[in-house]
Order: sequence, then structure tokens, then C-alpha cells
Amino acid sequence: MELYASGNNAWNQLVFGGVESASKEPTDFTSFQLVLRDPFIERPHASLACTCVKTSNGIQTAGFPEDWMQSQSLKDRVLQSLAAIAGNGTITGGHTTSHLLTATSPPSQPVYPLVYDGQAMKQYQSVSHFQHGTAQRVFTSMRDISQIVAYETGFAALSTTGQVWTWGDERYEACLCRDVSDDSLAEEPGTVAELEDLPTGKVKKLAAAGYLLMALTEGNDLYAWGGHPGLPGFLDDISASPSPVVIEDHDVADCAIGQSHAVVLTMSGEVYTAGANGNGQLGITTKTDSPWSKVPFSPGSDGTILSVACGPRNSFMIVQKPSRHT
Amino acid sequence: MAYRQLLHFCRDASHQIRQECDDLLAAAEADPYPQRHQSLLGCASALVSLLSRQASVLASLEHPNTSAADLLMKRLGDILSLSYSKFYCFLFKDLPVYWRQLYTDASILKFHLLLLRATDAAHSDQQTLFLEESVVAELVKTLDLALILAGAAGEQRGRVWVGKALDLLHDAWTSMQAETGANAVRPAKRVKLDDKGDDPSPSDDILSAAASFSSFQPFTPPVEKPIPRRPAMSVESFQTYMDNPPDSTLGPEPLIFTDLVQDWPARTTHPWDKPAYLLSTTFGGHRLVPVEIGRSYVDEEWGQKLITFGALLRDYIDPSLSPDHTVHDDKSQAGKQIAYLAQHPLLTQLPALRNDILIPDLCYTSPPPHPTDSTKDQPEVDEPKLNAWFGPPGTITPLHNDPYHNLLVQVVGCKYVRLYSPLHTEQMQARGKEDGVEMRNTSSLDVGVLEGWDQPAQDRQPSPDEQASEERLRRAFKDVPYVDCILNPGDTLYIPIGWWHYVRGLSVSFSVSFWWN
Repeated sequence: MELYASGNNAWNQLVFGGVESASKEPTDFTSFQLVLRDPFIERPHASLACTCVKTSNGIQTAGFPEDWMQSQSLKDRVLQSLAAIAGNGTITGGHTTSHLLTATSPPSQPVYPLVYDGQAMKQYQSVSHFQHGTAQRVFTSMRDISQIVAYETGFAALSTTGQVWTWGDERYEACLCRDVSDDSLAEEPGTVAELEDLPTGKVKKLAAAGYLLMALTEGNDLYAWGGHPGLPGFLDDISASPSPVVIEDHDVADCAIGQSHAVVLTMSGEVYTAGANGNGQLGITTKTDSPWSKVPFSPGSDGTILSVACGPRNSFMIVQKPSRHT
Repeated sequence: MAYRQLLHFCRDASHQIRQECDDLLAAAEADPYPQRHQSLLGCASALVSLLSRQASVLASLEHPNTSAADLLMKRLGDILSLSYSKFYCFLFKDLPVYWRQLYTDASILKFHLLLLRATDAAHSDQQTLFLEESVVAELVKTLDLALILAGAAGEQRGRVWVGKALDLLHDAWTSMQAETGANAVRPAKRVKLDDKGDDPSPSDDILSAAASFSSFQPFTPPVEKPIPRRPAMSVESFQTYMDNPPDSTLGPEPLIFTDLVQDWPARTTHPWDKPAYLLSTTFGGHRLVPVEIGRSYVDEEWGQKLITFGALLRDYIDPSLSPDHTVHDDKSQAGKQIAYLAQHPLLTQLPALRNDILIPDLCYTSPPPHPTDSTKDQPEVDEPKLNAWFGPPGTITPLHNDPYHNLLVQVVGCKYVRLYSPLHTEQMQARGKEDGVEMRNTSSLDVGVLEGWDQPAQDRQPSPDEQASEERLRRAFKDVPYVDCILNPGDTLYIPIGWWHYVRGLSVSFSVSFWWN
């Protein structure tokens, strides 16, 4: 399998296996380049400065290790998409064995995780609160969480039954995709009714970053919502209500979102990108922000693009090649 | 020479930034869980490392126009946009200071790089330094963004450094202009004023030292319940006035002092009613200021943006100042929108203007607390909070109240102000939370619309029910007692804490408010 990447490389986070010249400032990748080859590659987790990817050789890391990665349990959960870190420093996370983590920290505090004790999701103010087991908030409403994603000021969680919860800063209500009231607070997880009973089945995957969220259904329809009042978004028709993402007539196989860009893999095996391209994260040669454009990338005659991923300002794709026994 | 001094000043700052970052990273290495919230490490070690590397590249840059310099500029832009995105994540009061410092330090490095580039370009073809207007504009903008957006945070450099750098740049620019002479070649085309910088010179005739702002008032509301006007009081008398109100449940009442600011330079030797003077204190109009665009901050289409002071003057405040104002062009379209430099600590941003005013002694009194709601009282401020208000005719500050006592000084032009007492708060129909932003201090009533001075903001067709309820509102509101006034240049209005006030610019108007408690 092969990992390709394009975009921000300010910390050499697209260079696996050692950097040749540490004295030279690394440049960004402006097109998708092969960065890793391994018999087994999972979808990477890319933070601002660091890329982590599970391979047959264990977790491979490129770039500048983030401060929060010093917590191995948090790092493991992040890699499973069962923990996430919001732009405002809030962390939320879970565990495959239905243990959930989340943490918010007040702005002046460092940011760290929290744990689910089997019944409730507990939220901690800081890593030391976490270490001392002093929970700040306890959420009891969510069950069977399979994925947690973060956007700039909040979170969304997906259950194995396709239910979606959102919570976060009430100033950006459109990202919550639900009505906020005294009975349904912004800061408390609330279910998103509009993502139930969709025409092509239940939600199977979430993506989020910046002020944009996406949900992919089992029938391969993609929906997006969110927005920041006063800041133009990079996709059209994004509001507080999920609207279908239309890329020609394509069904969608996978999706990912960066701080202000998005990547979509179609069922026909092509990759489309949209948004800001200041670091080359779209993998195309436009200098300005772009609506959906097809990435001129071929996985080769025998290759297939399996999945896509985004860091805040870079993009990834995983390519499957027929196994060659050597 | 100021220019050499400025280069040294920048080099020292860049060196200092790198040293600080490296010290922090070393400390983080030694102690993986340090108290991060005090330092830049709060932004993450990765960003401290990136900033340090850029400072290092800058120090060793041999030519400021190589691909290495381009990459440096891009990385500084990355750091700026990243830290700026954090400004939206938090309410400004909750925004960790390290994000503001990161923005400021990256701005300082960018300023240094821009200066090196300008120096390089100047030396390549001539001996005397000549900074292109566009370069000056970019340099000023870089530091003004740090001042306005990030509050130029940081103990070692911060606001003090930025202020000094701007002073040195101004000195260099002034002496450069003197050397090249008034008839030096200047860009022939009129630069678009919005963001791309200003041509400070072309309207010399109209912006002559003598010309004042137009005093034209398109509309003048009637004053129905005039606020008492009187000469200034002594501090003691004012304290007594506030301590012994006629109605003890209401507390002190509004009052106008007619001669409190007669000796202000802003009204005499440094006249704020002269556009030429204001341009001279704002780097020829290159300084950036935040303005509100739209009729009133509660309107749908209202927004904020940063424009140069020159653009504010010529495109919005007084279009008659623009040399080509009679010519039909796009700018006359821009003039239709109202731009208001409102509630901005302009005098902190522009120390030259700060020297043109004096804090009234009356602010050094102990005014009473809020008459009806002690939860509104704020911690005591050490110094009065100063805000500037500068706009064309027709600016509106909707009916609202503030948690401080206020002296509103009218420096230039006229304003209409109407006040309702805190005892009528029930009838003010305060707003609630809107999009997560607390708006309880603002009334949902539009005085101008209710009085028939303005059209409702939206072109909507109210249903008969809505019309009826609006009519009821109008009638009920008519009966609420108020006081009002037109402030003339030199007048000072005392607005006691908690009083609801509606403020409307009648002509070009420049006011300064002093909040204290």
C-alpha cells in the first residue's frame, strides 16, 4: 500500500523515515507525492505539525510531535478516530471498548483528555485534572460511539446505529445542526434529527474541521453543514441544515476536511478537492481558493485509491496496489 | 538616521524572538508538563519551533529576494493566519494571550523582512532611500494589524515595540520625503484606496491646512426634552452633584458641560476638524482603523472591516474631500454606505492624537453604583477607558446602556443623543442572546424608525398582526419619558451609569468617550 500527500510540510510532517538536511527549511508539497510504502497502511491522523500512521511496522510518525502526544492513551484514541481535538483546545475522545474521552480546557489552561467509565463521558479541564480524576462535566446521553470528530469550536459523535450528536460553542450554532434552547444546550451533546431517516441509509462516517462538518451515508451520499457568520465558507450552500454535496453525479466513497479545505473520494475512484490552496493542500495547481476540482492523480493501472484524509492544511490518500510477494 | 535605527531595532527584536523561543523549547524539553499558559508554549511547541526557525532564517538571510525569503514570508503568513483563526475560537476576553503574542511576534518578523526587501530594492538602483508608497502602506498595515487584531501582546516587545517601530518608520519616511522634495516622482495613478494603500499627496489643494470638515446636516431631529446645559463644575461640585441627586432611587441625572474641553489641543492648536491635521497624525492616512459598515450594529447587513484612515476620510466621512468627488465613478457608490469608526481605542493606537486631549478631572471622582442593578457594576478601573467615535452624518448607535459612567465629549460636528433612565429599563425591550452573543444591554426598539426619521432596515411586508403590534409598541414607547440634546463642538455630555442612550451623528462627527467608575 502507498500513502500520498500534498500540502503543508512546514515541520517535515510529509517526510517519513528521516530528513536529509535538517538545516534547510522544508517546503510544502504542491501535488500528491508518494510519502510512505508499506504492506499495510491505515488512514493517517494529521495534526498541524505531525502525521501519525499505523503500518505493519507499527505507528510511523513524521514531523514535530505534538505536545499532547506525550499522552500515549490519547494518541492511541486519536488514531482510532475515537478522540479529537478542537481548534479552541478542547479534546474529546473515546475508546473502542466503549470508553469515551473528552476534555475541554479553559483558555488559559493546557489542553487534555478525559475518560468514560463505562456509563458516562467525563470531561476534564486539563491534563492534571484528568490525571487526578476530577471531572468537569459528565455526559450520559451517548451510547455505542464509533467515531468522534472535532471542528474549530466543538464536536460531533457518531454511534454504530448511525445517530449523530453535536455540541460546542453556541456562537456557531450552524455547526451544531440543531436548535439550541434551554432544553437543548449548545454545550451538551444533542442529537441531530435532520441526519436521521436520510434517503440513502444511516450515517456511516463523519468529517469535521474549521467550521464545516460532513456526514457520509451508507448509500454513499454526502451531506455538509456549518458556517461561520462573517467568514465566507469555501463551499456553496452551507447552512445550519445538512445539504447534499454535489460533485457532478458522483457517489461518494470517502471524505475528509481540513481547516479550510475538503477532500472527497468518489465511488469511481477519483479524488476531488475544494477550498484554500495556500499550502498546496488541494494537490492542484491553482493559487486561489477553488470549488470542487478533480485532482490530476492516477494511482497507476493496477492501483486503487482506498481512502482520503486531511490535516489542517494538508491532504492524504491511501492507494492499494496488488500485493507483490518478494 | 531613523532608518538605520529602525533596521537595528528590528534585528534586535528578531534576535530576541529567536532566543526566547529557544529558551522555551529547552525548558519544555526538560519539563514535559510546564506551566504553559504563561508563555508562547501555550500555542504548542511546534509553533514555537516554527517561529524560532523563521527568526533564524531571517537573521541569516543574505538576500531578501531569494526563494528562501519567499518561503520565510509564506511561513510567517502561515503563522499569522493560524493564530488569527484562534481569535475566532474564543471570545476576545477569553483569548489566551499567547495566541495574541504569536501573532504580534510573527508580525514583527514580517515587518523586518518587508523592511529588508525595501532596503534591498532601494539600494539596487539609487543611493538615497526611497520607499514606495505601496511598501510604506504594507509596512504600516503589518504592524497595525498586530495592534488592532492582536492588541500587540507580549511583555518583551508588544505594544511598546510596535509604537517605537512606527515612530522610527515615520521619521524615516518624513526625512525621505524632505530629501526627495515635494516634486519627486510619485505614482501617477490613483491607487484604489481600500486595502492596497493610499496615495497621501494628490489632494493637497483640498486638504490644505485650512480646510475643515463640512458641517452639513442632512437631517436634524427636534430636541423635545432638553438636557440642562451649564459651565463646567469643579471636581468637588461634580462629586456633590452625583452624591445628592434630586431623586435618590434614580441617582444622578444627565448634564451637559459647555466649556469643559476648551483648552484641548484637539479643539485649538491641533484641530481635529481639519482633515489635513488628521492625515498628518495617521501616517498620511496609511494607518489602518476598524470601521463598522452599515446603518446600525443591530442591522442584518452590518459588518466590520479594516480600512486605511485615508480611505475612511475620503470615501466615507467627507466625500467632498476627494479631489474627484464630482466625477461619477464607483467611489460615489461606496459613499452611500455608512462607515463608522466606533468604540475603538483609537487614541491608544495613535499616541499623537492621545496628546491632543486631556482626561477631564471630573473622571477622578467616585460616582455612585448602578441605581437599580448592582450586577451591572464593574471592577473599579484604574484609568478611564477612552474610545473614539468618528463618522459621517447619519451614524446610529442604537438604544443601549453601558456599565460605566460616561463623559461623551463632542470634538467635531454635532450629534443628537436621547436618554432614558434606568427606571424605565422594563420598557426598553432589551434583546437577549443572539447567535450566542449577549445583547441584553441593547434595546430592540429603533428610535429613528419609531420617530419616523428612518425607514425600517429591511424591506419586509409586515402582516396585519405585526403592524398592529408595532403600532402598540410605538404608542407605548411614545409615553416613556426621556431627555435629549444636540451636542455641539466643545460640549460634554455626562451619561450616568445604566442610562439607555441613542446616539445619532448629524454632521461629520468626532467624539471621545471616557468611561469611569
